[in-house]
Amino acid sequence: MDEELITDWFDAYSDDIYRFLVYYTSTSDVEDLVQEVFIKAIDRYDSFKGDSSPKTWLFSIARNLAIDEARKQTRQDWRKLIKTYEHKIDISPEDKHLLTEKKLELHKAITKLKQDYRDVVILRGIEELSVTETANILKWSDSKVRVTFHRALKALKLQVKEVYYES
Amino acid sequence: MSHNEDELIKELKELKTNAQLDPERKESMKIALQKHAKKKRSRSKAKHTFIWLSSTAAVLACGVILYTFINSDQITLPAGDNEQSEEIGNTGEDAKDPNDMEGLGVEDPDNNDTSTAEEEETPEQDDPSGEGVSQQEFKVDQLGKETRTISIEGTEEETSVYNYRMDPYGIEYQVDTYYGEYAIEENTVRHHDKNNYTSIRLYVEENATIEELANEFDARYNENFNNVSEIMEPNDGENPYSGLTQNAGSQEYYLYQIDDNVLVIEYEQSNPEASDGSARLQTVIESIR
Repeated sequence: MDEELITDWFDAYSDDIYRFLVYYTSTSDVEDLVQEVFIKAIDRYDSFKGDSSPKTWLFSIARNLAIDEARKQTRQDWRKLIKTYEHKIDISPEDKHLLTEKKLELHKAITKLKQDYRDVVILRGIEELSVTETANILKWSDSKVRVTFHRALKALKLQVKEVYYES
Repeated sequence: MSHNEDELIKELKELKTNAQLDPERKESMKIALQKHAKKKRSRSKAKHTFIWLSSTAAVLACGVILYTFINSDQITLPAGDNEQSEEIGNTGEDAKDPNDMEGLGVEDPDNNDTSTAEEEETPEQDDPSGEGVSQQEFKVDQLGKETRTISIEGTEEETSVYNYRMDPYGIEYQVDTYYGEYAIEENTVRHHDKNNYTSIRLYVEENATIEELANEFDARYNENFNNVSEIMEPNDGENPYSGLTQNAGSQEYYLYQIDDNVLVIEYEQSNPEASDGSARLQTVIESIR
């Protein structure tokens, strides 16, 4: 893989990968992981098949790394994660606090989901990837993505009810 | 989709942040990745070069081993060890290609002729001194098979004969299939029957005359023959060469002047019961061209 291509890919997808890793690991300290994703892409470039897009391929590498990282990581840094939203909307401090709390609870609920549900919620729900892109990353069929996403939302709703709506 | 699900999806979308990597950190990561890509590429190149070189080396080594192997198969025994060796021909149904340098097959496995060998020797190897040996390879090729009528003790009989050519002299002759086996012994071809009771040896004395050889043969067969015959001019029905004949039952020899050389034919019969051999020798004598 030549330097030019990896630079192009990095420019195009590094922020997407960064955000995905943030959601996945529930921490914003993922710069090293982002770099690792691209290093792995360089190392495994020979196995990259042109039939999938570089973006979905990089996401699948990132997902695998994130799973490994999540196993090692015992504590999520929620405070740092929430800070990434702080300057998004200009609202009153009370509303801001409420919104932040709501997002925090939603994040916590997502982390409590089983692996498949978490994958599809992050990719389809948060990252808003298409069904095909999600299917490519997870190596599932399109219909499995649809069905699993539907079930994941139900499961998430239950989790949120427990964590937030009931509170 | 229920209202709650829509609301949930909306909330999920709101979780999407605009968070980005720090530009400085991004730049340093990019440089690190470029370095890694470069390093990886040069490592890959080195790996490919190594694989290519080792494959080439392996192919070359195989080639050398194969060449050595083939070459070692062609090594002949020292001349001294070859004195007892001979080449075996098999006058089977399949005639040999006249251009076949081997010119000879493998003797019938039932035949326990111990004086056989499988490899053809070059004249230089057969006689390192070079005396009486043509610089060109001595070989006898079987050219084919045909039917011929011969007379045995006054009775005509149809028999099959093989055509041979002796090179480098270009002498052609026929041998009755009764002499089913033939073998090269140095510069001599020896045809014999399957029991080895009778044999015909043919060879050429180069740059010689019958007169010169007559006394030598007379001395050699002194015990068997009382006198040497006159040199006979060619007769009708025989070969077209002047010749000298000696016949004493179990042993005969014939000398024919062919250009500057003398073709020598020696017949030997070791078993008295194999008397047909002598009658069938006539085919050889008559067919020489």
